Amino acid sequence: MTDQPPPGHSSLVTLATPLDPASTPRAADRSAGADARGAPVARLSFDEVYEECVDLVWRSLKSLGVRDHRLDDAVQDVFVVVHRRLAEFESRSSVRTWVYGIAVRVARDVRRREQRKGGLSTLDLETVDPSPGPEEQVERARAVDDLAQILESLDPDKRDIFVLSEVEQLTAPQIAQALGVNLNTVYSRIRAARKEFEIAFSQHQEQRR
Amino acid sequence: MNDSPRSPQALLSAARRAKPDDATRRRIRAGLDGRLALLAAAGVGAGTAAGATAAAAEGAAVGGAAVAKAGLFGIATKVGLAVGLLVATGAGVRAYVASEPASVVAPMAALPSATAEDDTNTGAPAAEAPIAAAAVSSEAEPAPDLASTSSAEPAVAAGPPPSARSARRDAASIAAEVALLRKAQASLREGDGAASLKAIDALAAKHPDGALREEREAARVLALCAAGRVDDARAEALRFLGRWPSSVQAPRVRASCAFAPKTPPKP
Repeated sequence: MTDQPPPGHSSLVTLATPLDPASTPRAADRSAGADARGAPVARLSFDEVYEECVDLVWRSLKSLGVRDHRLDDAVQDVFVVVHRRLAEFESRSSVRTWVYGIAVRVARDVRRREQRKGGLSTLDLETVDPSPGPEEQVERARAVDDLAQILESLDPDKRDIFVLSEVEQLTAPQIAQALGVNLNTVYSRIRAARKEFEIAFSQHQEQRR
Repeated sequence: MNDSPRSPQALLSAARRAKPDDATRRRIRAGLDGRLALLAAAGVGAGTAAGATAAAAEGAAVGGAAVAKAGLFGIATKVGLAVGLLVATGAGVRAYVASEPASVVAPMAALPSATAEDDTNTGAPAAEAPIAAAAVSSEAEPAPDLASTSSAEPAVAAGPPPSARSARRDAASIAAEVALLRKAQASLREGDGAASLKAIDALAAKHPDGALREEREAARVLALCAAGRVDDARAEALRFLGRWPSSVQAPRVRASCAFAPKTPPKP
């Protein structure tokens, strides 16, 4: 049941701290070359960021409604951007927050393209078997699919914020930073999204019966 | 499947712990490596593509040929065990790319393919072709032939403008490097670690600071694995990761026998 951090995680303590609920974007700020406590921060390599973030990118894209047959590409899209922009990334915020922001944009892009293609909806390639894995893993992946389906009834802005808040458990200030949205807006959207989600969830359960 | 979580909280809690399985991770990474390599080759984001940058810094910058070369270095440096053979001509650059199975699934469209020679009439299809298992060459020649003949001066067919002379010299040296590396990889594919190591040593002796040293050293780790020399592989792997921690080869080195002694890699 435990989620082991990926290998190499231990060397990335500075990356993990910003997810601490207590940390605000300001606390997560790292002036060039030092973290909040003044400890030196090694420049992040692409691989470090990749190892640190690949799981969360995969999961959040999936929750954000990127379907399985687009998922590999979309994850790669995120990291192509990361690769291109890592050098200019100045540790102004946690790397994770930054990556989340990219993931949300990529997911929006993928959804937009899907829609333009005439809303190839939940019916198409969706039935592709997930690669065999431990039952738990499959189960959780399916939970994400269910969730994504439920969230389809929310409007995109609320859905993005809901996923970052309730699945990825970012704080409101982190979300504001990741999405470049006003903090109060984030708070009010989280509230609204939670309500809508509850409703959508029960509808979803009804349909399943 | 009516076993879906019965409460919103249960659903969220399951979703929070979802992550890709190993096969998915590997697939994504392989595809990503391919894409980054192609981007480097196309000169997109060349500023941050380590391979391309290093190559550009290393090689003499000579007009378009050098740019294309930097791009190809990007490929050679980044596409797993892929090897690019570069032939500079007056008009531009010809490239052959061979790749280990499954190391790349991206299309080759971005490869520089301009050529002044008319025997490369298959250039167009090649531009569309995916990089597939073993040698994907736009030529009929199989990879081993390339390996054995490519030290022949590659650029003699065309009369290059004076500015291309140094690029040509570079191209020739890359070609020689590529030939040896390819030989090493061919042996590796056959599971002959010793032969592979021999080729790698020869390569290191001839081009100690060659453009493909990252590939060479990654291949050395795999060759040591193939030869069953796990301890040596581990030592080399650590050296490699110390020197090129963010190399695109690094995941392969990490996935080698060096860190997973019980599951030796497929040759």
